[in-house]
Amino acid sequence: MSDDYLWDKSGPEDPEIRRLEEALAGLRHDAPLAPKGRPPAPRRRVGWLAGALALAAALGLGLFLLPEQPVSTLAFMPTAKPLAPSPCASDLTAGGVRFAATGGQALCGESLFDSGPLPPGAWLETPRGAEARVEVDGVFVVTMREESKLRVVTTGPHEQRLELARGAMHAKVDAPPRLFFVHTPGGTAVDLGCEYDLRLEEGGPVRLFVRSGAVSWEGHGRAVYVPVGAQLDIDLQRGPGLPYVGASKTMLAAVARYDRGDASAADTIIEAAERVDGVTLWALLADGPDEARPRVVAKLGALGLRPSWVQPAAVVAGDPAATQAWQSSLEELWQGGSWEPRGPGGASTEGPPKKAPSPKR
Amino acid sequence: MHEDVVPPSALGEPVAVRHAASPRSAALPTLVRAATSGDAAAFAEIYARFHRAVHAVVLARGRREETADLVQEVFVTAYEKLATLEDPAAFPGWLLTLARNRATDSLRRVRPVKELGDYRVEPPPRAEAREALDAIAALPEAYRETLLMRLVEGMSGPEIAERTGLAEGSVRVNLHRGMALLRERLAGRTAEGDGR
Repeated sequence: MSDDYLWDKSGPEDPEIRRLEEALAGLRHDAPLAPKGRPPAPRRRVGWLAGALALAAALGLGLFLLPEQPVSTLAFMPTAKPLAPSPCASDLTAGGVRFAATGGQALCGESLFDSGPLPPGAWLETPRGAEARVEVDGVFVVTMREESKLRVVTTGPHEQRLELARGAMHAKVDAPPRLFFVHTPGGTAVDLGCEYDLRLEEGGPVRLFVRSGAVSWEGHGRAVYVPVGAQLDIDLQRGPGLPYVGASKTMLAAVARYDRGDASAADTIIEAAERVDGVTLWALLADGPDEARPRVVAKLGALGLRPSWVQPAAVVAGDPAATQAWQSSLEELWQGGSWEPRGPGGASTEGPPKKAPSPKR
Repeated sequence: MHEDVVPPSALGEPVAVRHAASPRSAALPTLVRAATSGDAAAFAEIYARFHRAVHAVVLARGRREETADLVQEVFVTAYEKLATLEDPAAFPGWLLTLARNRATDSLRRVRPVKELGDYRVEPPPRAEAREALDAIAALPEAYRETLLMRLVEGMSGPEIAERTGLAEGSVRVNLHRGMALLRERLAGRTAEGDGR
């Protein structure tokens, strides 16, 4: 069926749309500037508004009826008061964070801008259809998607912290690990040298997808290692779930169940896991029930994800050194490196210290 | 038919609108500039053009019983902040962003306990309307507002595009896909109901 009726009410009438129109027509907004018969709203400002807008409506109506009469400024519309200058209107201090909007202007404070500095504390908001590039030269580039809200918490040579309060963003970081942080209501994304997408679903989970490198998601007393290609869903109440890659439907369903608090889903995860699900198994080793640890270690071995020098019993028993050495090797593998580049002591001989698996829930 | 009600030379001066040329025919940027300068009729015309789009936006997000108040709050905020709008052509997106933020904020704030007689209770929507609203509320965000503008507010696709600042193609896609999803959901509910 043509959608002409849906588009502009031309063409043959669509009975279902017509029925919906009739059912919903009672909700249509027909109120004038000040709805008649509505007592003042509880907030004082709205009460002032009702009276003021009623006056405006009355006068405005009169003006329409008397077209030759010149309009004067109405009492309720005082001369536009000077507003506090927007923090984004100031000059950029050297090395600070800058932003540039595309597809529309971005809101900073109470003003709209195409571009400018974004000093710490100032919220930047992108309207629908607009994006904003937020960056510090040579350190990070964040692309705020439409309908997002973000601010700089701190900026400096040793630490860059942003806060995403709403919407979605893409981050590309060219900085040493653990220098770039993004805070959200569900925890903090800690850059380990990476590129990632972050989305705050409306009233729902935070979703992280890592495009290159790795992110450590930290919050709710835990840290979850999320390597390239993996996604992590973070429930605002329960905290981060298990990271997963493009796994089978069985695996995804089991991870979702586990994330909702169903510990028995760990059995399905262990059984259904394939080599690509190593990241999920590794997180389960840290996060899952103690009785599952031997089976997780065995499964990782069966999938060829356990270097020969790893002592399974030591890891099952929670030996920190053995666990950390294994994780270091897995991290190298997930970042495209090769197996067994070093022995059990290798992890402590090069590079920055690696973190142990996440503490248990 | 008069095109502009404010000659360019008068822009920015306090009130230069004469209604021999009705503001109803004025281009939006002209209206916004006039309203910024304190012109009440221009602001009233802006309200007339946008109140339904704003209502759809808050209906898509806020508490249904608060939508009328929210619409008013949005227009007060818009009036208070109008002077900060650098590009009058950006008004639709700016206004609807205010509306989305206001509606989202309303969900966070604690509702004051009102004394009896302090407010009028909005009549609840009919069952069919409630079912349709619930189904629309469960749709992806991109379709929600557009469908509410079309089905509740009675706006046409071109009108939605103009009031939201979106491209007509985007609105058409949102309407088409949103309606298709809505039909599926409503059909599913009917089937569930029949199966009970």
